[in-house]
Amino acid sequence: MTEGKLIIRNVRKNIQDYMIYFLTLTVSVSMFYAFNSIQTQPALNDLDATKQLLSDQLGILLSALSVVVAVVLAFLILYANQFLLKRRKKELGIYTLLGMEKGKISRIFAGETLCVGILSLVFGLILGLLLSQGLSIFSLRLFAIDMSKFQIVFSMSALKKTIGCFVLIFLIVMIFNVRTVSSVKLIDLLTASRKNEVMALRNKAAQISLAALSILCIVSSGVIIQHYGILPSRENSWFQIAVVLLAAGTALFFFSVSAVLLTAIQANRKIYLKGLNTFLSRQIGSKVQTDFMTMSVVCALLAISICGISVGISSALTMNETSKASLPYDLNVVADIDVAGETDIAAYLKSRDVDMGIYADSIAQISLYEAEITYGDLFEGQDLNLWHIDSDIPEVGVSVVSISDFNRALAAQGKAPISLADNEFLLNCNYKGTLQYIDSFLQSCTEIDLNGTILQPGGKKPLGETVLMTSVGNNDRGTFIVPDHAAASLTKDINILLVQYKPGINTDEILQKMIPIGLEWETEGYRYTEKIMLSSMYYGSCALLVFLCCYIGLVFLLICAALLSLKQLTETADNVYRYGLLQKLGTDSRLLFGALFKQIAIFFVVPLLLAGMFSAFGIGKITAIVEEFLNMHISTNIGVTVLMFLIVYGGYFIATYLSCKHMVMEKQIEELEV
Amino acid sequence: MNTPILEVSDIQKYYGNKGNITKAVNRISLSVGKGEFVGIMGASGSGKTTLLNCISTIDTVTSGKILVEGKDITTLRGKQLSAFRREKLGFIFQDFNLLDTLTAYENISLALSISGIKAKEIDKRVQVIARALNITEVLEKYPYQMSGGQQQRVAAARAMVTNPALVLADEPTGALDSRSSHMLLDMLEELNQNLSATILMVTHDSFTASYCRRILFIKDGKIFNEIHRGAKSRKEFFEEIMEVVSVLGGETNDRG
Repeated sequence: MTEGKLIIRNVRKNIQDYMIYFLTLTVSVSMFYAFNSIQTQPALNDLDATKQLLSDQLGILLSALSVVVAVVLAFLILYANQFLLKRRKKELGIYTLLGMEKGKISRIFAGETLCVGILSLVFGLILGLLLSQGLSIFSLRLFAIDMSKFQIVFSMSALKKTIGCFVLIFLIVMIFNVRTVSSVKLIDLLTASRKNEVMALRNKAAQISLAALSILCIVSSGVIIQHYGILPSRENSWFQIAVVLLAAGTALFFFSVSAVLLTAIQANRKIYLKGLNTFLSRQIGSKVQTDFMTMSVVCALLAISICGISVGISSALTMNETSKASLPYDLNVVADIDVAGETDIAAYLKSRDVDMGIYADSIAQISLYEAEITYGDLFEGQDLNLWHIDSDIPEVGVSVVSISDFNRALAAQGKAPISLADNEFLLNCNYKGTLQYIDSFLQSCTEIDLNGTILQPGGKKPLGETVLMTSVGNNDRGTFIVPDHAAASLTKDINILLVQYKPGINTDEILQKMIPIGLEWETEGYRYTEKIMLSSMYYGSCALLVFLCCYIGLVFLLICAALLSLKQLTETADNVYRYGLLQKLGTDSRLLFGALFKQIAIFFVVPLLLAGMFSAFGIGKITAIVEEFLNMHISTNIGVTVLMFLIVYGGYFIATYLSCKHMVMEKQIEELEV
Repeated sequence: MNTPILEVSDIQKYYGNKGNITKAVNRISLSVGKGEFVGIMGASGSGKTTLLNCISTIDTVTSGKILVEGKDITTLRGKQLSAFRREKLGFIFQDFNLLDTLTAYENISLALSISGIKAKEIDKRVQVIARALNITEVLEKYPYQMSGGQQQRVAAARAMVTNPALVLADEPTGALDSRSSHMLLDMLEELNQNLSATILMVTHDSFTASYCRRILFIKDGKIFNEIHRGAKSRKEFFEEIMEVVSVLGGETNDRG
């Protein structure tokens, strides 16, 4: 038989083993392609601000990330390859025993790898192309961009990158295989299936102290992060210490905790000697200990995945929701009275070559005052639970706007004016973080004293208008609307120019002129917010970051699930004779498959539990940083994460259990036919 | 002979399809009474292992009935089948088939715990059988820390601990040296005499067979001959077996 024939026959004969390998490869290729084609996504590319960002900093970030993804994928593929090799060691041994040259065997194995590799590369690219279209639609939806922009994209650069990268990975795999084949001993090949697993740690005291040490490591790293923050700092290396402690703690945890639990279960004879518990705990105990590194890696990847998806989705949803309502003007220019003085903002802008007469359809200047009453006074007696970024707010004086200025702002938005009696006030608030406190203040309030003027509430509900356009989601925390005479007695805080553009003007031109003014705000006192810039910034750079978060999360999740699945399939393949023996001894199939299910469930759930604990801690920390960066509150949304995990992780879990069950049943049938 | 534990009546087992049928077991009937130690001998390919597999429900028969304690086991399926195996049968395999992740104690207790027996009871019964088979001191060891003879005694303990109606032994000495074989067979004989265990042993080895009280010879899927030990010494019985074997044309064994 020629080598070529042997290769093809081998692939066809081992189709089931190769299936797992093939699927892993295909998914990896498609994910890698989709990742690298992000840069050509029209949804993200059409946004003005992102174009510039993408070209420099984000381009670097993306290529760095794609290297990370490639390395992780290479690790996964090598792992899958090892599984394949392990299953076929006996076959390899027989070839050697029959006197086939090692070179020839190596060529056969390399040929098989190549065969499957090419197939999966082709299928992976097709799948990747579909996946990237799906991602495109998903991102369009997520960031509320016009669906008509959708078009099918094909990224040549991503294609080249993917092919190049995977050819390299396949080469590494081939070299690895050839080396394994030529260096391995015949005796090991033939008896590979029956190797004993030895418990490394049998001393009870050592077990318990190691477990305690692992928990100590994890907790102390948590304390360090709590104290010094989750970002690496240039001044000290606490972050690095925390990471090392966490990694060591996790590895130690997986190393020792199984032994501790096993000892505990063994001590309780009632549980230990019930059903297949003896068998099950031995199986798990000896395996967790030999595979603690894999478990730690899986745990770490899962934690990253949970954090990535949760923070990403939460930010996206918050941005999507808050940005809809809060951009009623085209341009706001805010003048700080303390620095700029009492000025006509439009006149100042004209002196800086920004003539609103040319650009603006309508302009209006309004003022905001600061009351002596603080937010703390308003919220007095209430059980406060303010968001992290609002922790200073109780000391800040409440904003005040006069009724005529407020109506002018409404008119600029094309809304009908409101009326207010001479001895009344209203409250405006559209900020979720304070709305409930403002609301309950109004419920109980009978009158306020504003610099000597006594005013009664004119309504029991706060209004939800936007007076001033700030960064998205960061709006009115509560502003008194008072009669003009009441406002006149207060200290003016800021003047605001509200501008609506004429249709069809060049907004970029205004922006270019505004940027230098904005940069001098510390000396000149003028700041601006511009609608297109705001939405571009949020839909663009932030959206892209969010997108990457989700993407990385998803890639890592898939990798974890595939890794665990492969691992369990390998174990079951190795242990299939044990299950066969249990059946011969008369174990109920329900009991037997119950044990199999429990075993797989434990391997899937335990790293997830630990990762869940890490992320519960991490999400809060990361969200706080994102909040600071975006200057808005993000309500954590883990619903999508849970759903995604249920689908991907749960799907892999069920598929793994079913194939393991199939393997055990197949063995049973095989025996009947002998 | 007293009440039969096992009654095999007219069973056949065919392999292959139309035009190319192998009759592995061809109309065999036999009966094993309570407390008997019966050997089945035959050359490789004579159908003795197929017969044992049919009795142990690992394989199914093409036709005929197998009654264990008066109940037909050829019609059992699924749950009943596994219940039958764990309650009525004890297995001793040629290659011991111990689970190497478990200690000797756990290997023995497993047979009890899958039948849902209480932990206290399990401990008592494991200790009793361990004393009977002289393996008390290896109970906490793993299979790979024991000798082959010890492993096979642990396997025998696992087979016996559930007090099965019938112990099936498939070439139990196949992987042992002659000294260990001797010990194991002495022990099986003891179990048979002292605990009145019913044992059905398949072997191709005349020396091993000479420990039985009765031997059935199988050739080409049929019972060829049957001899009883009666009052004969083991040595005399061995000579008698050798005679039958030479007539059968199977392999000979000059140990004894």
